[in-house]
Amino acid sequence: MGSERSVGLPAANAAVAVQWTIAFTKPRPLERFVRVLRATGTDRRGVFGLESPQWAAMLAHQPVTRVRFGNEFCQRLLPSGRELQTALDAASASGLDLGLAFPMLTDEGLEEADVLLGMLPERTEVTVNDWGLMRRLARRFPALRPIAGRLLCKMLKEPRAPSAAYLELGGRGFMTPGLQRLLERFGVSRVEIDVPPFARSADLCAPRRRISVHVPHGFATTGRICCIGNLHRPMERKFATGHTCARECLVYWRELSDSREPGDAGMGIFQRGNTIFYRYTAAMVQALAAAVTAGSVDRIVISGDWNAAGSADLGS
Amino acid sequence: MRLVAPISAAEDIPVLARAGADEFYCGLVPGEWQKRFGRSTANRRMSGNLQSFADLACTVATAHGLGKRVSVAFNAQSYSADRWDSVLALLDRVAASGADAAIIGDLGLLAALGERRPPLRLHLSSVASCRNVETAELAAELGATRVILPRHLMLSEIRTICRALPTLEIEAFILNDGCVFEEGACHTLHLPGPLGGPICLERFTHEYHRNDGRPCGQPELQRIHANDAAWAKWLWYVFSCGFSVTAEGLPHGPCGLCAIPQLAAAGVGSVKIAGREGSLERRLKSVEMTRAVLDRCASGSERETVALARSLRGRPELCASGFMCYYREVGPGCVRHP
Repeated sequence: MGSERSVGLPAANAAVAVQWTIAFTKPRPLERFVRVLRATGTDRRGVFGLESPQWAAMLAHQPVTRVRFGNEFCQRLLPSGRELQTALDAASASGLDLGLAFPMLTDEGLEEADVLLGMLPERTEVTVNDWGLMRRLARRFPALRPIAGRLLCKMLKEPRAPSAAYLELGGRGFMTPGLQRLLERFGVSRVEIDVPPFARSADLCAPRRRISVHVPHGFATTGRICCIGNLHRPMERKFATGHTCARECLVYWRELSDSREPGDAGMGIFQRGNTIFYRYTAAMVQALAAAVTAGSVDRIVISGDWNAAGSADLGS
Repeated sequence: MRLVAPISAAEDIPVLARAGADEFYCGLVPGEWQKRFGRSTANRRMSGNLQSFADLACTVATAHGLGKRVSVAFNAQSYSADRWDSVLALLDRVAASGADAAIIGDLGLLAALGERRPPLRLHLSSVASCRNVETAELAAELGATRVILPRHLMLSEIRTICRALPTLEIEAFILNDGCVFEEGACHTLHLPGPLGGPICLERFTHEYHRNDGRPCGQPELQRIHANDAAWAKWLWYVFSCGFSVTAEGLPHGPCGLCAIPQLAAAGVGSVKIAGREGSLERRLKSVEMTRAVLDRCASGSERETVALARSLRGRPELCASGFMCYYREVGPGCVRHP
């Protein structure tokens, strides 16, 4: 599960300066990660699905220097103030920079976000996936640093597409002149993206913007209504817009297997909560490595817990 | 409230106008675009689009002749750099055609258009996923005069947006074409059937895992499988109850008709029937249903309006499931406190 097909990478990759961030939805895995890091000096990144030789080559001698807290996909996973404080304390104790991520938000969610944003030190990075939050940040929290999240940097990422031609239906390049304009309006200098299927390294660049790339998988689609999030709801209340949940996504995930014949793009697909993800193929990792080497990608964001790897492997 | 209906040809307009549509929207993929970008469309739909500027001129003339407005959808998730100039040129020609509005899915494109001040109104598409007042205000700042809300908003959330921004026109979905995920956050394609179709059709086998690495126990799996069965049932409703219709041709599937009184009270200015790609018969029946409920809302009580809305198809069990409802807060399967 989560393994990558091996591919050789240029040795030069190891020497390229790139920042490594690890992202957590919940504070306990973040705390555990920090504890392991402090105790052993190793970030045990193998448990995050980055164990293959190609990742090892890319990761060599590159320590994790940042943690990212919060979920990009679901408002129901917004942390409490206490959880955020726990994450802030854990990061601070280890000398790691902490950023905070938000999903798309309703007005109620924006109110909750206000409380969390008010707890952050100046210049903290905030990953924004809702243009309303972007506007709110500029108006009320100008001392924080907005990052445009991967929901705002749209690109076709159909993991079942049999060839690159399908993805070219959406054109090439996520950084449109319009997106540039908006990012300038809000003072955004960094964007976050995934590696799309059939990516070339040239797809992972953006003029005048720093790029963070999520690994080892990208998201294909997400939504407000969550299948597993209705597990404990009675039939007549299931799947209603705005439903609450028991955060079942923190317990379960599911592997999705395409029933088509072999010979397709062949990347693994899994679902966590309301979001479908695809695992990067060796070719996609190679494209990312080339973009890192070229300097167009300068930060990697490792999925720490809301994934298919199992954060329990971090230990307790 | 105004009734906004989808068209795929100018000839649709008199038919749908007679049935009670107030406004129309369409897509446009002219030959020049097809020649340059192949099968890649200029909007969110692969089919159901006007094919030429002559078609558009005829559409605009037909609509205006009946005193109706026409909007043209530019609701791709975004327009890549290599298409940017072409889409702006296309929009210029749409504006010159006399079309009344452009429906814009990409806030970046909206920002660019707002600066160019084209002689047409700008509507923010549901594809922009406006879930809150701040996003709607941003859209208005960028030049939008109308915001089309995404599908998955509760009535209370719609009310909040309408009340905060009384001068901004708000449009809400009322019939057809549900979406499992958030359309504006879906980065997949509706692939051809043999390749799997839309990803949300879930033509997958799947296996659940626990995050703590322990195997799922039998009682746990039973609960999960029961939930999956309910999800499959919900998907059937989202996909228009198996794309079925009544004996009279009234379409089943996602519906907000009984919420019309509450949408009107909230300040929603227009309701949208989805489905440019659908048959004219389907769209006609959709307009007829919606018009009947709008008229009853204007002249009758909320109770009478809701009763009419739920009686139109003669399938109370579909309404009672709640799974067919855009706005579950008012359906028979009412969920007031989700």
